[in-house]
Amino acid sequence: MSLLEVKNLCVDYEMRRGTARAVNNVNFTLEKGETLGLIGESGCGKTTAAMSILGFVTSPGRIAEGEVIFKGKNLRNFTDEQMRQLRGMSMSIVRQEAQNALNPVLTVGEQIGEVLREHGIRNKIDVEDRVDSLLEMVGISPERKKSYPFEFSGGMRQRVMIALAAIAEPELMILDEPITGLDVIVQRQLLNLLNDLKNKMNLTALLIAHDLSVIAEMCSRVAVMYGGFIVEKADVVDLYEKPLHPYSKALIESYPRIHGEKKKLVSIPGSPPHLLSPPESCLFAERCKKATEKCFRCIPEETIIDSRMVRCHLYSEEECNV
Amino acid sequence: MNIKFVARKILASFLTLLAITFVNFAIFRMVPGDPIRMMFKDPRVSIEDIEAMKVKYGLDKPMMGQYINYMKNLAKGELGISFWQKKPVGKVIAERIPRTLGLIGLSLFLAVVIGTILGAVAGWKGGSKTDSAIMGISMTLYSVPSFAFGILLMLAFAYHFAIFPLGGIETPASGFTGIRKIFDIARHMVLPSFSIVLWYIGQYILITRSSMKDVLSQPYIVTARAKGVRERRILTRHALRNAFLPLITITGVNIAFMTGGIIEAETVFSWPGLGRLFYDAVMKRDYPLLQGCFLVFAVAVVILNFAVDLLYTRIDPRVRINGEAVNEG
Repeated sequence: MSLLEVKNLCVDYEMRRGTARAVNNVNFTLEKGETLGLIGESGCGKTTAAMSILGFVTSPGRIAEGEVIFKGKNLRNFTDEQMRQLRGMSMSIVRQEAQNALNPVLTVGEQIGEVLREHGIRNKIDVEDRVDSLLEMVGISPERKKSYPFEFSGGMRQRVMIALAAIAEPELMILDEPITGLDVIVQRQLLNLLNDLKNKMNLTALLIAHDLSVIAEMCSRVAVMYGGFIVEKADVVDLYEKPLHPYSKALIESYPRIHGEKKKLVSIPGSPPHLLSPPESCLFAERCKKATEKCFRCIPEETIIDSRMVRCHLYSEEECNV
Repeated sequence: MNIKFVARKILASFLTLLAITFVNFAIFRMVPGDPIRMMFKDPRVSIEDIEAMKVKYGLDKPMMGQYINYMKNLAKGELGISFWQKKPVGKVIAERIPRTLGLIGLSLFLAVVIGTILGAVAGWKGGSKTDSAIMGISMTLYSVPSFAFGILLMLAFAYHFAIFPLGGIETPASGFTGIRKIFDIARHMVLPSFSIVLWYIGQYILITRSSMKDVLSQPYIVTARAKGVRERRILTRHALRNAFLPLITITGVNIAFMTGGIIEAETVFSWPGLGRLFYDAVMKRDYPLLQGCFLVFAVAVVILNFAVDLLYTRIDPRVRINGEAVNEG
């Protein structure tokens, strides 16, 4: 049994001007101990998809369809209280914006320990010991648990966020752009730290990034998102060496390589799709060099080729039935 | 807490008070009207008598000399003799202080407690019917001037329904003692304090609500939810404490405004406190008494603001450690 199974997930944002489908028929599974990467440009629905796993879709957004199955149980049937018990304990999240993600008037120790206290671990000594060991694990001296967030640098705050997400040894950890906005040296340190934790705790993780190298560093499999759809899903190496979807290909070509021949970087023309009343066709078609007439007529279905998934008319023989 | 920070605050408070004594001294002497003329109601008084009176009260000296004299006496703790009551100003004021302090204390307490609770509920339940109802109340209260409240309250509850007394501090010649006396005074306090407090309740609701809504949209609230913290605890531990920070500043300012408002309320309800005394002193051009009242108000405001600053350091660690507020998060 997979740890997490997301089936046909659709998230709608209902606004006065219409409904925007931010996440569209998304399917993926996470096996125990695996790290899946979720990549795509801003606004493609990565974070919304991840937040709906935690049950964090708030008005005007709502999960319109689909199932989120965690350890065999459909989380959409869970009550608020059941979801709360899961959060922090069985699944946690490290978000971007570490700068404001910690409460400015509480010490970091209090904030880390709160995860355990709120889930019934009341023994003060146990909690404090655990906080100390977690701080140590993320590379912060335990004496600093009495400090406040504003006394830490950006990188250290993100370490605190990681400690906070890892303290209960959750089965699933969502890493939502955990190193975005930090300088490269700190990014490197945090990546090492996350890889360490992953191995030590046998973490299952969903890593969201818009940076290919981060995904390559941590994940075995990767899903590429565009306009709310997962357009391609493959092993990381396969995707890098032979991207199938024209968008994946363009994404890789727009990124510099350190090794290998020097190529001119290619940007993707056009801009991301508007999700309010989108066309009933491939959303990438307008920016796609290989688009055919069929691409403008209907939405491509998921096609499986050599155990990879791609959503593109180039690889499907089906005709549009509209 | 940082000693340097406290020392700096004390020094600043002291300088403020020094500046106040100067303004305090000058401003009443610029007001039209002559205290000597007020003392002799008789227009036929002789020039010699007026001059003698001036010398007696030190009003013959030039302004600067008068000021130096005033400061010298102040340093000795003497506030002068009231022109009007012919008694030491300190004594006249001292018996009034507890009455006004009681009124302001009660008003401030009611405003803060009622206003912040309603405001926090409105902010927490943003967009709901409860929110709209509370906002309606607050906008109404906020737009009516407090003296108007005073007169309306008096008309409704003292005259029409006759639940509360019209004015004064206790029932005359009642002979109440002990608990009954306290109860009697409390009954007299209700209308004046509500006439002051209603406007502030409106203001506290508005500010708490917007501060609450602002805090609730902060990433650290999402973090708390993602940690699986109970909603009740998110409210009490994470949201309220941050939402209260701007309220502390407002309260410091409000104390100053309230001492102004107390003059209206005490006059409307004939409450024999400092505000009423201040009003009488203005009418009588009683310089020493005016200065005394003004000084007491000023000292109270400065001390309370100092207390507010210290309180700030208790609940915002960013102030505690850096010595001044840093603007982040």
